[in-house]
Amino acid sequence: MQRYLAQRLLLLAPVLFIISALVFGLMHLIPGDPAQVLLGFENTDPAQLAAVRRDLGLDRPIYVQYGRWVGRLLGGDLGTSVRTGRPIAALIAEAFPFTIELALYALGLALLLAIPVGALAGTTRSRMADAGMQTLTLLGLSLPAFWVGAMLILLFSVYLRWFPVLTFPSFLNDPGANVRSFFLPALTLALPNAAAIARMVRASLVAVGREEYVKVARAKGLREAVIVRRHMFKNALIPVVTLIGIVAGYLLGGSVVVEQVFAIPGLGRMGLQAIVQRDYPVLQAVVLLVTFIFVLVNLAVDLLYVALDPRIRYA
Amino acid sequence: MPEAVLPAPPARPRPAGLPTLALRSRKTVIGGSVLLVVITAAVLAPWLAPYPVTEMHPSAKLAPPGGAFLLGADFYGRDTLSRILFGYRTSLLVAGASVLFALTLGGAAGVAAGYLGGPWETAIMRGMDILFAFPVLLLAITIVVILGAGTLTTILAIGIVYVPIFARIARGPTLVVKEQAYIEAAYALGQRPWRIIARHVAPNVSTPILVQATINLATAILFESALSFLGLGTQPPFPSLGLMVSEGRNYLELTPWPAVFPGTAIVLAVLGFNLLGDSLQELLDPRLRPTWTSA
Repeated sequence: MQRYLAQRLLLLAPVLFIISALVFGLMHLIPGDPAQVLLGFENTDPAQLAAVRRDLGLDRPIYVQYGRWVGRLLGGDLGTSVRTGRPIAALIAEAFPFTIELALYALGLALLLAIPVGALAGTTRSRMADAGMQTLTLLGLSLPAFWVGAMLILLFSVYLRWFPVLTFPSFLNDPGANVRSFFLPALTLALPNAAAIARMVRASLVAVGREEYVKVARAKGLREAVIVRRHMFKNALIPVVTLIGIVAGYLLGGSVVVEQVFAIPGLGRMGLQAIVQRDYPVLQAVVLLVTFIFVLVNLAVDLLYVALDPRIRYA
Repeated sequence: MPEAVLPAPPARPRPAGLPTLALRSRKTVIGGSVLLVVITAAVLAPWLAPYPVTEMHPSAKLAPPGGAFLLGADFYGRDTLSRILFGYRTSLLVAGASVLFALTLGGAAGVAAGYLGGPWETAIMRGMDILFAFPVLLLAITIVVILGAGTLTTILAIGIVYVPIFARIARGPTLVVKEQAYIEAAYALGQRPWRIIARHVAPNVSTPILVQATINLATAILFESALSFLGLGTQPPFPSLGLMVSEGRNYLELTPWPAVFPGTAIVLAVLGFNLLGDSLQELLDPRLRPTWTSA
């Protein structure tokens, strides 16, 4: 396990390096001149343009620019927004808490919905119940988040007035209001993920139910409830943990769509606004950060998987 | 000496093929029927649509459903039904083309990796891993920003994001088939690798790929609508279901219908593909079948 851990961590460095190079390269493929954006499109004075380009280091070869960028990154400097002139690290520090809260909230709701539904579908002997739950989860996978969000706002905020719209007080100032205002976006984000997790729970339980040790437990005359609880559930959860981890990786990267629908000032919306405003240093930092989070969470999931299942031994 | 006449062995029933099995599943039938309606609507849109898709009727601004506008009209007085029919065209075109792109490129890469092995395999699959390392929507958005928003870009963006999925799906069966005796025989007979891949490997890889393609058609429709919703997909005035929801959302407090109907239309099409994909997957992998069939 320790050797595997060391191996994976060592491999992380080249992966992060390749990703950073790719992100940097991709951003440079975006048409348009960042210096022109900074200067404003009305200003076409070539001397000023050249001066700005020199200031930004845009007149140097691309590998030099990349080297400087990575050097600054390693020192914790993510660059400066060309629109607001503020350090990007500060912008991210403001946006990230919204994204983290939304992600954890959505993940919690998803698990709350998914595990009972999946467990019931995976262990029931009722054909109707299983088919019903399968249809329900397929429907969950077929919902466009932006539409569900709009419909939830319509129903609960416009008609019933149960939840406030588009205000997100800080958790520390007013926990009650905070939890209320994040409920609808978290639910929107949770639904498709709950459907996916429930299906995985069900499939995994069905597979485990065919294992020899479960047959033995049945032959011993154990009650079905005991078999499910003591013998099936833990083993069935191992592949589910992987899926939960992947979902967490996605959620922590910020949901561009849900943050946009509910006007939550998180990472996803920040990235989208950077596109609209052509603030490419911000976009570059957001893409890099989100991809890093995604890779790191996936690595954590892989490690957890090994820790959970003693049958898996990575040589 | 009369020849001994053996009684003919009783004809063994041939195992039912995939199409027969599929037709026995209720999911396939329902999913297939929904898709039939959606595809027919898209294909016949120019003939079925009651109004030209961009025609504005100022007197019918945000008209409720019923009357001259069966599903109502949007803020510009454009007929919602007509726009949904044409929106389906965009959805199916983008989903179909992007999945075809991913299936061709990813399938070829996966088969090549599995068949060639060695450094080729390592290079191809590590490349796919890197592509997989990016969150899908973010990667697609980045591609759109580089190439500029539009229908063709949307197809490419979704297609590129899906390539590694098909590469992984294609590689597995290729590895298995490669070890079979008949491949060795074909090789010994002097058949060229190309011919072996086309004749012996491809058919074994095609079934899992088709199932994956059905599922990805569902997600591609969602993907297209999400990109269009964000303003990064299909550009107005072309009708796209995601764009319609996005526009309708601005008038929710006045009337919900311009947002309700296009969204329902998306769910219907996606559900159709999901039902079909799910039932195909169950047929191919009996372990996924519900508990009550084995109990």
